[in-house]
Amino acid sequence: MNFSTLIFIWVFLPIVLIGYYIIRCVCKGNLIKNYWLLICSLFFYAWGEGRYIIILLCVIGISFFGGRCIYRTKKAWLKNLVLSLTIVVLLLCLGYYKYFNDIRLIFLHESGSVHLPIGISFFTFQAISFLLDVYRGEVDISGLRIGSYALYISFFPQLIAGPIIKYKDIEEQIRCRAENIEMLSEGIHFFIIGLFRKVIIANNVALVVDSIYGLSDSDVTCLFSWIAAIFYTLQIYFDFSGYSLMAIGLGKMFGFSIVQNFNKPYLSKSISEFWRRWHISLGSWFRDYLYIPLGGNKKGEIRTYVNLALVFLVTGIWHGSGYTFLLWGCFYAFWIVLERIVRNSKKLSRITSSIPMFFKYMYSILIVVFGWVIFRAESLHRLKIMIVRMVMPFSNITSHYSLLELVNHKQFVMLLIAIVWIFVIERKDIKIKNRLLGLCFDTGALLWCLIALTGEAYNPFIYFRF
Amino acid sequence: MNKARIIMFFCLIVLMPSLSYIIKTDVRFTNYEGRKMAEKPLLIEPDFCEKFDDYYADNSPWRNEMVTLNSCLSTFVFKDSSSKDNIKGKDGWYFYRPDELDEYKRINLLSDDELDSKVNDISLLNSILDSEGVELYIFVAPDKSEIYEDMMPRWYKRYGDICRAEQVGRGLALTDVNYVFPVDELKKTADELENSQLYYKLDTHWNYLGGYFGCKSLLKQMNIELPDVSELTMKTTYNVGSSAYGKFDISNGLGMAAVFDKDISYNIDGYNYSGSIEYCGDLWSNMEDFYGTVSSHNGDAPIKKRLLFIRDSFGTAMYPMLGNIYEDVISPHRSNIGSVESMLEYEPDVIVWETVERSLSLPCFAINN
Repeated sequence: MNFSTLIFIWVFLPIVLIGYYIIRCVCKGNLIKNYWLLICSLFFYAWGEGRYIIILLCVIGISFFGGRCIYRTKKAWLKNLVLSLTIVVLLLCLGYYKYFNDIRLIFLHESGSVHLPIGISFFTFQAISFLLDVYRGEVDISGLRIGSYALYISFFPQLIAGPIIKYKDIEEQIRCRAENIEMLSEGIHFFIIGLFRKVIIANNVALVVDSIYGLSDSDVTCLFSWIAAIFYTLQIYFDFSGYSLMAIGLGKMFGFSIVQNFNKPYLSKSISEFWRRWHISLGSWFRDYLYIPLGGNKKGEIRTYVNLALVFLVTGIWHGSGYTFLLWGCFYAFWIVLERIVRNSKKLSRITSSIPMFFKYMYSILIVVFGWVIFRAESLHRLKIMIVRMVMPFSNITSHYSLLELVNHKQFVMLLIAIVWIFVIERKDIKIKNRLLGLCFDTGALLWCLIALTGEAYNPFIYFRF
Repeated sequence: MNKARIIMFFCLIVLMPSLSYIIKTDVRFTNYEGRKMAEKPLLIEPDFCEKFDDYYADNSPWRNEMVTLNSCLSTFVFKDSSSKDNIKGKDGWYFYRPDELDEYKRINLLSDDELDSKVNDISLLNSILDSEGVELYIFVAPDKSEIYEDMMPRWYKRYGDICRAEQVGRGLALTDVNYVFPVDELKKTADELENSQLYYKLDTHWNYLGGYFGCKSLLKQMNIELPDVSELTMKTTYNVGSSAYGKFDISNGLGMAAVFDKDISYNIDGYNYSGSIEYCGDLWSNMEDFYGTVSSHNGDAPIKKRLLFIRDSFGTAMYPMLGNIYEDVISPHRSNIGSVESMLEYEPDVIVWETVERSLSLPCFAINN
């Protein structure tokens, strides 16, 4: 089950909301409410993943008891041992489900059939962050019940696609929070906007990307490769940020304030800035639990560059198991390190500071677009084709397809909306001030999304009389 | 106050459809999708959740209305086709995309080996049937986009001079196989009858007028003449599509069955489902008959022969004409014929193998015999 389905919006969410607010009216405190949310979250996961909920429960159990052991013991060696063991077990579990099939393919030339449980990367990282925070003494878990901890890990708004929440950021809210009309209405608004971004914009621009990536090599021209790159740049942003916004909105409906995950990333002036604005929760996780423990920038220039490169390599691998994800990580490692070198050099940073802002924006967006081409490619061969077409316009000028076959009016309108949304609305923080207009927009957007979702479920056997 | 309003509207939108569906328990959806809709699974079934998801997707509240609304948005607001499988042409014409577009563009020609293999196989079949005293005719019904190419959007271009059907025709021209691909005749007729249409706008198929002229070309090859259009008495009908699956296949595919629900066909006197012909089976309304075998007997037919008319869906519009000409017509769906024996068991005098251009499913199984 995911948020942009009719069964979630029309069945699951109303039941959870009604149940939650009935409990709120009838019972004092957060205990019963939390248990209700926990049951619903586990149901949410089990609905989609079936027996793989055992993985989630194991992660919860291992990290909770591991954390408790670390918290209670005074012996440093035991703390270290338990921490290491639990993290190794969690990473092995993640590694098995995420990478086994590809490793088997590379070394044995056989395809594997291990199912990847949805959200495993997210909830495993949350569990690891909990263990490390407990180890560092940054959280007090003396009164922590397993039910509350299980809710932290499995809370359905952020369970399958983040944001990755640190326990210390949500601990207080699990214990005591107050829902109010303002939070509920804001949550509904965020949910609707997120749903609109995903269903109306991202899903429509995705069709263009899929069409172009579905062409044979000989039909991909320079124009098509750039269109695919630009559309994918928009697709992934509106899809992921839309989902994150829905998660934030859902959290607010239940009185939780979840951290923002995107902060106008396409308005960055450098790649370093981009990664401070994109998938913020993942970036901060790697900063706090990998980069800083490796020494961060405190161990000299060369070590800083190595640490940065390592972080981005791991970031690439975290996203997926194919060669293209590794390449993607290396791609960003290169640019991040290069920017750091430039920043550390007085001469070079003087030069770069005099570059007009426009060119900085263009540089960033260009690198990001190329990065997404690497990310999207299903294979190294396909990546090569797309990059060659992009940088060498005359490598293939003929195709059996025309632009208007691949991009229809609706998709073009979505492209325009997406561009205006990023470069005007987000840039200037434009909000609808007129309340009635805002209400109409939200209602209209929600209805459009529901209509579109029903349309997507329409699956006729087109030519039954063949 | 405004915050309360947004909560209220949100609750209304997420709760009302399900509530209305529960209250109005006699709701039954018209199935426009031509497939079996998912049924409510039992709790004890494995994959219950996945099956329930499918069931809910197929039976969500106000589904048909929402689908139509979604399609209307695409069609009337964005001026696009609401389905990736259909192309919106000019003047209300829609065309089928999969397979048919590659044919139109001439980018799916057969390799020399493939062509030789098909030609040899069909020639062999022809020889075998000839030795049994049976005449064979291969008939290829042209795609709509071949005849109404002017109605295709201007950005769909052709990248070759001939299509696959013509390519096969040229290969078979060197043999004695009777091969009929009446694209030129139909184009000429369509131009002459500019106020009529030979194909449905909202369906991938030809209507009865198109079927008539297709038949005319086929029968001409057999030295049987059907009257010209000027000699015909015909009535324009506003067809509502097949009753077996409701409406027209493109209209269904667009999700516009409730809006695009009429198209033009013709009732041609003397060449329709009427008169003294005894029909066994209903191609138009019954799916089992369509995929099975139908037959007709016409004691007044001019040709006292048994015709085995092996068809696909384009044969539906040809069948009544053939039933008027041949004393006995047996018409199995192509999927039921996979060998020479299965043809000969009907003891035909004449065999017509009919296939639509975009699938070009030719009888290449004689070599296996």
